[in-house]
Formats: sequence, C-alpha cells, structure tokens
Amino acid sequence: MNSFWSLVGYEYKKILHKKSVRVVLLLAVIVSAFSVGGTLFGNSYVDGEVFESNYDAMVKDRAYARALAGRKLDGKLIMEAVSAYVEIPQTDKYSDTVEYQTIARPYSEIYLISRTIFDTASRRFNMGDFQALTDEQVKQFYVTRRDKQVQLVEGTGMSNKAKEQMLALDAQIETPFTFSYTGGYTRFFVIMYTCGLAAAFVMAICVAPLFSGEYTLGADQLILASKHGKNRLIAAKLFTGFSLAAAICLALTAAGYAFSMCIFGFDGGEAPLQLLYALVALPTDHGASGAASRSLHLFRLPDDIGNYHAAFRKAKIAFRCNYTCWPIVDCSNVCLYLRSKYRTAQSVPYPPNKYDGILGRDRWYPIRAFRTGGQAILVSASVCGWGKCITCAICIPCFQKSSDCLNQVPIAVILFKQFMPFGIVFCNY
Amino acid sequence: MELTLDRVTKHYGSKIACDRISLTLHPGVYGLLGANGAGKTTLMRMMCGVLVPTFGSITYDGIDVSCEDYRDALGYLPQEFGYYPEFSALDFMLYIATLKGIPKLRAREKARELLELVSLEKEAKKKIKTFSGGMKQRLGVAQSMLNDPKILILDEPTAGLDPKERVRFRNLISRLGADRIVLLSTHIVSDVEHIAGTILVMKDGRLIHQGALEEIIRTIEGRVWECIVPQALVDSLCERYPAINMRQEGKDVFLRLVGDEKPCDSAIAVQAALEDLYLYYFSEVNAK
Ligand SMILES: Nc1ncnc2c1ncn2[C@@H]1O[C@H](COP(=O)(O)OP(=O)(O)OP(=O)(O)O)[C@@H](O)[C@H]1O
Ligand SMILES: [Mg+2]
Repeated sequence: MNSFWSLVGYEYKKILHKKSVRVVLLLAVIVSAFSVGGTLFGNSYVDGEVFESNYDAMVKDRAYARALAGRKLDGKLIMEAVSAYVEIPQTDKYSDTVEYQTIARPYSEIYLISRTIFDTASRRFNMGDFQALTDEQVKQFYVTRRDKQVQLVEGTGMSNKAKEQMLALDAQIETPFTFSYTGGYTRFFVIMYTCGLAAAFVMAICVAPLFSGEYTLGADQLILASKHGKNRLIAAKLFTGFSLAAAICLALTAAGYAFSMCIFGFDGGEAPLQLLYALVALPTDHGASGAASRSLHLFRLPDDIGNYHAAFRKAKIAFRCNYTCWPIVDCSNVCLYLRSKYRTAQSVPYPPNKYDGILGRDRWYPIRAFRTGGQAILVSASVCGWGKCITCAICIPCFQKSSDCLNQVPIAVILFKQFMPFGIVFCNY
Repeated sequence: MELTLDRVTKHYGSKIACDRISLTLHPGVYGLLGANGAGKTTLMRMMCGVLVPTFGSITYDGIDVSCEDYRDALGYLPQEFGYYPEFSALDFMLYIATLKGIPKLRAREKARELLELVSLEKEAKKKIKTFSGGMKQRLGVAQSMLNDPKILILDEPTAGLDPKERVRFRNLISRLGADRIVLLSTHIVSDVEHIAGTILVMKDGRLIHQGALEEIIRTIEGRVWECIVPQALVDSLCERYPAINMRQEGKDVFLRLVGDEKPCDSAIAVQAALEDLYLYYFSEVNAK
C-alpha cells in the first residue's frame, strides 16, 4: 500500500511540474478574483452624470447594513424602514431622489427582504406597497412567510411525508431573524454558479493527459514492463484523477470564498440564510450553507427518491450514450429525462405547470431557469490500450441553485448514485 | 533459471514481424543481430510484456510473461522512449524504482549506486531535459538494472554512447551476464562480438542462426576473400558478392568479399569475423 501512495505522489508531481498546468491554475484564480470583484468596476449615473462608483456604492451600503447588524428583524425594524421610505416622493426612479439617498437607503436591505415575503402571485410588491404597509401587516411578517412556505410546499409533487419533513424543518427556523450584513456571502453564492465551469476547464487541462500523456511522452513501455505498471499504477492514476478533481473544485471554491470575504467583508457567517433567500426551508446560516455547498455529501434519501430512481434507470441507457460522446453535458438534459420519465412513472397525473420546474429559493422555477443554473460536467478520460479500455468519467454536476431547497437533493442523489461507479459527484444543495 | 520462448509469433495486419521464434535462454549474454526491420524490437517487446504475441508463449521458470512475478524479475531498456523532462535523473530513478516495487530506502541507495555506475552521479540532480542523447541512454541503462533483474533486455543499449562509455558498458554487461540472462540487440557487431556467449541472428522475423561466435562464424569460414582489383572490375564484383569492405588504394581498389567461390584470381582467403557474417546475411546482394 505504501508504494500506492508514492505512485500517487509521483502522479501529482508529473502533473504539477507541467507549465501548462501552472498557467491554467493561475488563470483560474485570476478569473475567480475577477468574477468576485467584477461588479465593482463601473459607475452609476444620475441625469447622465457619474453619481458614484460601484465600489463606493458597495462601501456605502455595507456601512448602512452594518449599522443595522445585530438587530432583530421584527415589526419595529420594518416599520422604521417603512417610515423612512414614506419620505420618498412619487417619481419614476425613486433611487435617484435625494430623499432615498439620504433617508431611505440605510434601510434598503430591509425593504428587499420584505419584498420577497409580501410578494403575491397576483401582484408584484413594489415601493408604493412598502410605503403603505401598516403596523398590522408588518406584525404578520413571519406568519405571512410561513403561509407562503406551506403553500409552496403543498404545491410541489413531493410525497406527503416529504412535505411534512420539509415544513417541520421550516418550523425550526429561529424567528425573528437577526439582521446582518451578508454582502460577502451573497457574492460568494453567486460566483459559485460559474465555479463549476472554471473547475471543468482546469480539470480538462490537468486530468485529461493522466493516461494518454504516458503514450505521448513515450514512457509507456517502461511502465508496462515494470512490476506495478499494469495494476497498481492504474489505481494510483485513477485516485489521482479523482482526488485532483476534488482538490481543484475545493481550491477554486476556497479562492472564491477568500476573494469574496476580502473584498466585501467577512460578516454574515452566522446570519440566517433566510436573509438572502427568504423562503429556504433549511434552518441554517450563511456560513454553514457556504461550507455545505462544496462538500461531498452522502444523502439520506427522502421517500420519493425510489420513484425518481426507477425512472432514471430507464433513461440511463440513453443518457450513457450521451455522456460518452460528449465530454460536457448540461445537466438540464438529465433533468429533462428525469422529469419526463418521472411524470409517466407516477400513477397520479400532476398538473404539468407545477411539475416542470424546480422549487427555487422563493418560487417554482420553470425547467428553463434550472437549465442555466446547473451544469453537469463530465470530464471523461478515455484510457485505451492499457489492456482494457477504461473510461473514467469525473462528473461534477454543480447544483448551483445551492442552498435553495431540499427538492434539489433528490436529483443530486440520483446523479450521485448513477455516477458513483465512474467517479465522484460533487453536489451543492 | 530458464527463459523459454515457444513459437512466439507477432502479426501486424498481414505483416509478420516475428515468425515462430522458439528459444531457450540460460544465464549468460545473448547478442541479437539483425538488419533494420528484422523484428528485434518486436521480439523484445513481447519478452517484456509490452506487446502481446499473436501466438506462442513466453515463460520464465514456468511464470508466464503476463504475470507480475515475471515483470518483477525483468529489466528493460526500450529502443526509444520518453523521459519526464521536468524530473531530475534521481527523481526518475526513484520513480521507476517505485514502479518496480522497491522499498524507498533501498531504492535511494540503489539509484545512487547505478547512477555512479553509468557516470551520471554529478548530474543526478539535473533535469533530464538538459541531458544529451548519450546521457539519456546511460540513464536508461541505469533504470533497467534498478531491481537487480534476473532477465535483462536491452534494445540497442550502446546507441549514442561514446567509445569510453561503450567500453565501460561492455565490461559491465559481461559481469552481469555471469548470473543472469542478458539479451541485447545491436547493429554494432563489435559490441557483442566479445561479450556475447551466444549470438542470435534474425532476418525477416525469423531466427536464422543461433550459437556461439565460433560456431556461427564457421558457417562462412573459408568464404571471406580479400583482393585488390582495378576500378573497372569493382562494380561487377560487388554485384555478385556482398562487399564487406572497400577502400581506394592508389588507382586500384581493395575489396573484402564473401563468396562461395574465389571471386577473382588475385583473391586470397582470410579469417572470417562476425561482421562478415552480418554483412553476408544482410547485404543487398544476398537478398536478391
Ligand atoms: N506497430 C507496428 N505496426 C505495424 N508494423 C510494425 C509495427 N512495429 C513494427 N512493425 C514492423 O515490424 C517489423 C519489425 O520491426 P522491429 O521494430 O521489430 O524491427 P527491428 O529489428 O527492431 O529494427 P531496428 O533495427 O530498425 O530497430 C518491421 O517491418 C516494422 O515495419
Ligand atoms: Mg529495433
């Protein structure tokens, strides 16, 4: 076993010694820094003149949010925000007014959170509605939230038991929320949407030549004629591929986290996740969900996984053809398979409009929205000529609508189970 | 200790690179001779488990070539192969040692010892990409001996070595041949002439001769001629007999030829050497 680890060590050495690998790694870090800080470039304009730079705006809003940090998000705080917003005169673009900038802006975060709660299906909650909020309505903030949650959960296609579990989880959320500045975490969650792509790019460069590189280099004969060259080395190479893929994902995530925190601020780790996504049913905070979003999970299966799984098995053959041909597969394909198969597998027909989507952070997303949100990236390295033909696929479906909702967990589980023989799946949920 | 090849055959499509080669090798040095494309490399690759024979079997004391135990007893220097350019010579040796399953401490010791043996001890820490062709070749020889192999297969080991290293190498091989099976292929006849106990001659995928130097040479004994002829005769003679040596001597030309009968009146029979045999078998004239 000792020699196994030495072999893994040498594989790492071979990879990391390459110039192209180092350049790509550096590039990925730079890209990640840029994607974190990119929004801070540029200015906002009032009447065609520069009003403030985006960076100044961030600093200002951060100071305002920090001033409110630690306070309970209760009726009192919301009413304070309402009375500040009342000062804003009726105009087309309220954010350009002096009143907004001087009186209301310190409470803008409170307004944004309230909006997701008081939004209704028939009417989009706007500034005017906020100004008109009464004491009574504001006191009902958490009741309204719960009602909305119940409605949302009931509207899904989950089994009754799963619905119950979800609502029970929701009930565990501590209210009222404690307000905090969460800019760093918000940014971190956003860039995690695209982190998978960057990781796939890096992996394609680093992991792909793992086996084929020996042939290109001409070292294959030496390897094949050596004692461990036909068995242990292959295991070592596979381990290297998987662990390196994991390391790249983690490293890029860590870089994204570090940049987000350094640029936007470290606050908010303990703030409830609901400040960001008001209708998430998980009793968790920003820090924990950030950590969870990139770790490897073994899921406890909710009941209706069984159905998903059986349905998926049928679709699997078609899917398998798909992924051996295409190195990169958008996981929306998987979801479409799943969705269509799952629907026929159910004896009770579900209302189609409710079915074709994913329960998102605050509403039921149509499948199209999900399509852009998650990517399944399969880096498949074909290993031909080593006596057998092994195709190892390293799959990283990045469920970037992360920390949204339990409903995505099942899909992640299916992918996890399906791909396990071939690789490791990293899931964000 | 016995390496047995039984009707080993390799086909590349319709091309037969090795044709039913049967051999039994015992400790000692074997020199494999053959023209370009004779099938030497193909045979050696099969003996190292890199290529799978189309037909036939290769065993070492009953262990099949595909077994790990066989490879454990094997040292192989391919004709041409790649190094990891960013590795130092020592790194490379240690890596191969790991592949061969040699424990770390022992590997380090052995690697240093072998690098010294091929006079690379000063370059041990240098990256391989800075090495000259001959240095790489020496490194290749060194790596093949890391596991103290019982079967040592060297494909053109002397290619690119300077005369000094060549002599060192020859001495090394004859020493190694005492208690193991060493098989080396070469085009440079003088490299095997004095150290190989047994000469194997391959032609078009077949083993056409096999035996001690004297035995093999005996096949052309009395058929090697030397003569000095005028320029006008050279072409016609060379067309009929394989020319081993040709040298301008004033107006005339000195020729060394192989032929069943006396090529010309002035010719005198001389003692045959291995090179004569080699050229006799592989010359254009003979191929016709
Ligand atoms: N991979 C291959 N595919 C097809 N033909 C091959 C392949 N490798 C070798 N051959 C053919 O097999 C024959 C034997 O080749 P081999 O390399 O064994 O010769 P060799 O005796 O080692 O020659 P050299 O002295 O040039 O090294 C040659 O005719 C060559 O063209
Ligand atoms: Mg050859």
